[in-house]
Amino acid sequence: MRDETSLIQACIKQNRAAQQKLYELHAPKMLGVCFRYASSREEAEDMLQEGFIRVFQKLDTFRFQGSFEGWLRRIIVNTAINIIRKYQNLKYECDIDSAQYTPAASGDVIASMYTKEVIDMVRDLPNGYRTVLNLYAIEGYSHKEIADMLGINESSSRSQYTRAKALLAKRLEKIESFGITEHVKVSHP
Amino acid sequence: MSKFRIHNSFEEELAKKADEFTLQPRVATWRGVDRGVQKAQSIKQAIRLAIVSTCAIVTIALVYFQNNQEKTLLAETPLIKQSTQQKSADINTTLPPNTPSLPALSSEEKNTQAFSNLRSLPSFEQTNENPDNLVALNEELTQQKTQLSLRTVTPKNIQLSIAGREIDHTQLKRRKRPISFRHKDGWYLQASFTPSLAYRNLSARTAYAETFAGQKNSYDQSVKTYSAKIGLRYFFSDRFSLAFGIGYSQQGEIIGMSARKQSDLYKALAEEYNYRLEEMHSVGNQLSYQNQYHYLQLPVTLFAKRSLSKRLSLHTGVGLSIGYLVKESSRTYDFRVDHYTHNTNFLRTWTVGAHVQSSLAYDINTRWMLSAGPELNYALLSTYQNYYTLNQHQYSLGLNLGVQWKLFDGTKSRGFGLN
Repeated sequence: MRDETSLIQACIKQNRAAQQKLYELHAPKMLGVCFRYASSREEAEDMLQEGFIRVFQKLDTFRFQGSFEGWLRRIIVNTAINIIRKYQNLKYECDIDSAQYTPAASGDVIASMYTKEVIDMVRDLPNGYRTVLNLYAIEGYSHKEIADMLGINESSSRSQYTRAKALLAKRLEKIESFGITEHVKVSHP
Repeated sequence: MSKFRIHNSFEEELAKKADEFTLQPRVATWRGVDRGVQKAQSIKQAIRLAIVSTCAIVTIALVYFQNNQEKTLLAETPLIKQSTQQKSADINTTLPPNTPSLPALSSEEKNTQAFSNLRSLPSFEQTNENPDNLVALNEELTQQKTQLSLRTVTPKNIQLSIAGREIDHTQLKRRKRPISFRHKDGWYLQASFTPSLAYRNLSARTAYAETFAGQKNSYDQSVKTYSAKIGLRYFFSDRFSLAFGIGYSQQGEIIGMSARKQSDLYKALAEEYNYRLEEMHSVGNQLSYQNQYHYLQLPVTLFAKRSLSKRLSLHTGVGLSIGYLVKESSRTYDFRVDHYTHNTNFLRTWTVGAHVQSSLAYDINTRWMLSAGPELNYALLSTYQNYYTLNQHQYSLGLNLGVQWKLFDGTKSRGFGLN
């Protein structure tokens, strides 16, 4: 913890070696975060790059009164959202049938899956659904906060999440009935 | 993130899996980050340097103009005394070298000689009038007594105080601070003060007036002025906004003049056109006078915003304003009397101006915004009425210092926190 504090302080003083060290420390996890929001790995790395530039620009505003990783993650997520808002259309013409069909999504199935498979399943969702699902279920933002972030209505956020969850539940249901290995076939025919 | 969220096993498991997931970035990504940070750093330094340079230049300019506009009793200055003596010498040299002194001549000869002297004056032919008593006129011409006392009005120091407020960091931790300050649908109360340098663009409508305009252009100087505005600004999108309000602007220039031509002819002309003799001055550069035109304005400006960083943005605005001349202190050249005079009939009461400005704005917090940047004002209509033979378009270039305060948001708060 103390090492991290001194590393951050060195980064504030524009020490490039310290900046690289801090980057190497957190980049893999943050790229994982970006990967969940992005459509491709290239886009995820772009998000990571933009995010870290902002992190180093704003590092002097970090108050050392909480988790640095949490602070860093919020900036990365916000940067990812900005990029998505800039380049992608969050609106998605939803499949009504799949939206209306809302089986209960099972946490047990997810727990039994490999991490990469879960991430791939999330990434297979349409842009709007994926973003709302990431923000609500994984980052823990409320629908009101998500609405503010994405510039949409709170009810839109709610409905997109419900639809995203329904789609996931449908896929999880298939996995549950066919087994984990079958899921791979379903996701990647 | 909300602390009162209820997660079921689905969200918990999903978050757990997502948290476990890592990916090794490529080496090129770090290079991009490093380049980006260095670039941002150099932009930051350039902006700081630009702000400091602008402030330094404006300060030096203001100090320079302040020092050159001190009150002077002009009649007592060596320059005016020298001017008076020079004028007498000039008039005496109009007599041929071997001409006997005026008292030695007969009455008819005196008249002829005096008329000849008067004709040699550049202003005589312009009057087209024959003086009755040329001897008395000639004697008076030789007695140059200048009693002028002009006062240069120094613009009052106006202090712009901005009540800044420190950022409440406890609020920031509660995620009240937005990631980028969006202004869409926001109504702002804004005030600005612009110390500036003002001058005019002069053109003539006749050939004769053109000669005079040329003289003016070589004698006249710019003047230190100011303008102040207060009004409302509405951001109808995050990029575009419209500002309107009321403003007060001082325009003007320093004109070069010389002492009034001492003759009964001009006294008669002054009487005929209802001019006060002490307000009459001839063309020259022996003394200066600051023309001031004070306008009450109704400006409308369309702004385009470009975000540079979370708090910093560049605002570029173009607009028009209607101005009403509320006060003036000016000398206008009247070709009929060949003198500068105080004649408000020549001045246009209503005017229209255009302005462009560019400013760097800094969001202190979600409510307060400070801005600074250059502003150019140009009068689309002449200072003078259409029948006057000169066209004079006032313009001023200054540093606009503004403060904006958000009154209320048209929709909802779009903020979400970083810290």
